Amino acid sequence: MMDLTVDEHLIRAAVIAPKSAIDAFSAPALRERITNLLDSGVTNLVLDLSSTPFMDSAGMSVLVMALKRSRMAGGNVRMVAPKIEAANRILKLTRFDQVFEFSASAEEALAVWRKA
Amino acid sequence: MAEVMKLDLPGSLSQVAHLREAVADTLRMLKGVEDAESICYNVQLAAQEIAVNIVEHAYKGGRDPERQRIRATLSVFQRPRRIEIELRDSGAPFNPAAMPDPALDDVHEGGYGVFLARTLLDELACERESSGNCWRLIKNIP
Repeated sequence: MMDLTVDEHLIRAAVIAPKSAIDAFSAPALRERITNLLDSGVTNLVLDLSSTPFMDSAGMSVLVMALKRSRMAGGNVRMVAPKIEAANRILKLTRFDQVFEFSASAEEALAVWRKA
Repeated sequence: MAEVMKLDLPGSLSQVAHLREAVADTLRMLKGVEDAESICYNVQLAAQEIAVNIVEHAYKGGRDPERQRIRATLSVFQRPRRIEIELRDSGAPFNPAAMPDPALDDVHEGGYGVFLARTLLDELACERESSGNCWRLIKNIP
């Protein structure tokens, strides 16, 4: 009998990259989309905000929901920071930058989980 | 002398983006502002949060947006350089002082709106008038 160890890692991940404003009007649709992904078995989410032009507190609420639900399912959320410096500063002001994990790109975020 | 822009919006979340555009248009009247993009983003975000607050709290979700209006007056002043935004509604009273800042030791699903507006502006006040609330947002611009 061969002496070996097999570790199989199957991680279902989705990349969500909003290209328009995430605000109180659009946030419910984003929330629903993320909820559907998580309900379908996706556990890990990349929230790629690099092309998101604007986000208000309703949008931030969706990020928190995604983080909490994915961690409850044993997964995690990695964020790609907004390119807009002012939006980044809001994430720091609210200390989101200390709770979310960040990657430089969606590819890099997925690579972190592939290596895990 | 102030440059003034007025806007009369239905009290609906779908309409608040027009206020953000008006903020950008108004701030463009000031020339030579350093870091203008960030200042604009911050004022847009502050105005957005207050307008959403009006729809959700003063108008209880905005069930009748044609009658429930948000009347905005945006003024830019050159000396001292600043933008002032007044947002008037005809809804239920709201006391921003009663809104505690969110605990920042963890992230939360709500409670950031007034906090962000208060933090990003130099002045934020809400006064009760005979027919509704009048929010006053002021951002000094170096």
